[in-house]
Amino acid sequence: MNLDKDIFELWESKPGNTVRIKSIGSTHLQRVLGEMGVSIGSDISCLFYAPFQGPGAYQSGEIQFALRQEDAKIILVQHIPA
Amino acid sequence: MNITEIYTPGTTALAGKPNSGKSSLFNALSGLNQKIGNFTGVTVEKATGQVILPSGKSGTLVDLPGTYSLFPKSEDEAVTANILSDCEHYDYPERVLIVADATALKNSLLLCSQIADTGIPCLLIVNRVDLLEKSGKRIDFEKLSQAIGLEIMPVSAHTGFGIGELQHRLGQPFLPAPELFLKDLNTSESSQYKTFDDYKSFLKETSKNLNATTAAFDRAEALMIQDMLARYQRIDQILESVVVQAPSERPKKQAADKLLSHPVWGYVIFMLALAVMFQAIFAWAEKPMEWIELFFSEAGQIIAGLLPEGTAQDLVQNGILAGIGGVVVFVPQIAFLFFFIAVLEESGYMARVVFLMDRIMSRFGLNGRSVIPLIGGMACAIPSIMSARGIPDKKERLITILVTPLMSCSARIPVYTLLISLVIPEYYFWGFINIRGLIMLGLYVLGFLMALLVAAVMHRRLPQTQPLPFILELPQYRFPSLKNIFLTVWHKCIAFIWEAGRVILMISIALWFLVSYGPDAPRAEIESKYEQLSTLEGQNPSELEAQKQAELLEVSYAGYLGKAIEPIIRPLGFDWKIGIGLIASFAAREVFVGTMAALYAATDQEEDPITLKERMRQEIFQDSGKPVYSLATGLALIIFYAFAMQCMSTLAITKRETGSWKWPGIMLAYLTVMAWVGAWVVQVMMG
Repeated sequence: MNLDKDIFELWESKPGNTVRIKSIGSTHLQRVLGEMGVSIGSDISCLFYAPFQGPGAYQSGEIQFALRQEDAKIILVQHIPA
Repeated sequence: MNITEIYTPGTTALAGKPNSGKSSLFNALSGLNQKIGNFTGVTVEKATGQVILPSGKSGTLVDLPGTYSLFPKSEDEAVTANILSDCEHYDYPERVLIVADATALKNSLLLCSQIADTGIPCLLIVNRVDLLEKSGKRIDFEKLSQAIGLEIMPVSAHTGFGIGELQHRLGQPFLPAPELFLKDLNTSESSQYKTFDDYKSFLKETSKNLNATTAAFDRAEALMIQDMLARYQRIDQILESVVVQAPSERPKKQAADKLLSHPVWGYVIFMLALAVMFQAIFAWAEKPMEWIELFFSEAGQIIAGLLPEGTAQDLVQNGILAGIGGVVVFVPQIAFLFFFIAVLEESGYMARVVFLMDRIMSRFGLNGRSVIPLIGGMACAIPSIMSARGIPDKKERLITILVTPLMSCSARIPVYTLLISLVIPEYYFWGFINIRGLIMLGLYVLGFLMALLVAAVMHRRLPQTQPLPFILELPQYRFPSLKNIFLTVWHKCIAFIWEAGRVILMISIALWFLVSYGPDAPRAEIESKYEQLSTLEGQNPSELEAQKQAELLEVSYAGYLGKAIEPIIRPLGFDWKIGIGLIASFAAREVFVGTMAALYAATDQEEDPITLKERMRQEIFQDSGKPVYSLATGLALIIFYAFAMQCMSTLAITKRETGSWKWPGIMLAYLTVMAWVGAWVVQVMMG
């Protein structure tokens, strides 16, 4: 992850980091995440990644979920301002 | 007289998000009084249960498929959405029990608010309250009830807390929400509706547009997102004053996840879990399967003794009872497989397995969830195909179903054992590695590799559907409820016996007819020949009977079919007797061994497989004088059985799971072609 970058892909976030969603690249993904209460402006924590570039595990509010790399790459996030 | 005594409720539907404990609650309320069927017009499973009310009357419960919202993304979710948004729907209930997860209340309230806004009488059940304390939360149920306008009952389906009160409450009518959940929020276009009917129309309209043109679809999705965001905005406001304490960090869960998703230990633990599952399906199910076979064999003898000798006796013994036995014999394997799947799912570990395996499987057009059906397919394809229901993506699920029969199932073992020992000499590498064992292992590996290869081809060839984002909820770990697991296994077994059993029974009777009947003249000739032979001295009656049965089989319709297909199978090195074996074992692969024993006239005293093998080794082609069972033919036959769709039960269950005969037909066609080509290649290379 490039800390200089203000906005980056969710896929680039490291386990333990909490970031804020700036945009979701597809309406369909926006809808599916929206059902789980995850939308633009939501805070999302990266928990861990599956081996071999497998899905990533994230937490937003009470819910923990996994996203594939191709989906996590179209979610743009930024660090939460201190 | 109070309301409980005079009130007779209509159908009560159970709705809730996945992982909310809805099915556990359904099991807790209805126990064994359940029926599995399909919802009208679709192949989505419909579980209906009866709950005994305090008045002594019974009420009907329908378990609707789990969904996060009334905006469907799959056929299952569409069932719930269509039923609840259309009063004219055949399955429209009188009222709804909305099941929410106390540990993930926010995500449960979206669906709850949408159902409430359809105006249907409903009651909110907050399940898993036993876990609230552990998660560090406290919910003010009274305040929550006031805020959303619905009555709330806290329960725990796992511990039984509140179930008695809920059963009592089911004996009384429910009330609809007094007003729309979104009444104060006119921030979005979608919240312009003023009445419950307006919202139902909105739901119907948006769901309809999901199958419309791209522009209409995009607009529908945009409206749905607006609706959900507006609802979550209000839900957040409500929860701020209702949930007293924030959730804890769940450190234990993270430690377990670290281990279970570890690049080495994650796979080691998964392999150990599979090893135990395999042991159960292969070894522990063996005895009950033997008992079932023995029971049906004994029952056949008893019933045969009660009926007069003739067609009716033969039909009952060898057609109907053999057919029913052929269905029931799979029940122990199905029970064990579903027991393990239920334990993995209930404990929350299944989601981690899917998480771990998704990357590997997705390279072949499959899904992390495909692992269980494929591994289970090494025991039996039937329950494994049923277990593919957990795959939400239609295309990935279909591919999983279509390739599962390529995994070497337990029914192939007797065929492999006979053929390998027939054509492969006993030989050990380094004094302890048996070449026959290596070939057996190779067949399992071959099946798995072919399944992956075919899946990759199908992924490219089958029409592209709208790819679904892979979003997998990782539920909390919890100790499985044995009662719930028992009920799940019970209902899966009943569904299998009823749904697949009917088709299997019909095919079994048809096969009985083909094997037992044929043109009259040659059969009469054989009967008369053996009648004369039996009067001669020095004849062994059982050997004579076996030879007679072998000749009768040759002139049966199955025998004629075997001869008719000989030109097709001759390039593979197979003669008409093998043709009969292939036709007869269409019912089940293991029937091949018994058919061979009958064809080569192995008598009761000589049923030792060595005798059968010796007789098969001596068999020669009448025209060329060459042995039928050469190394090339033996290996070609093994490869044929490794790929061929020789299991009518698998076809029946595929029909049930896909809802049409199209996919079992395609499965039968591609596997038969693969089997033929594979056997031919072996014959050409080695013959």
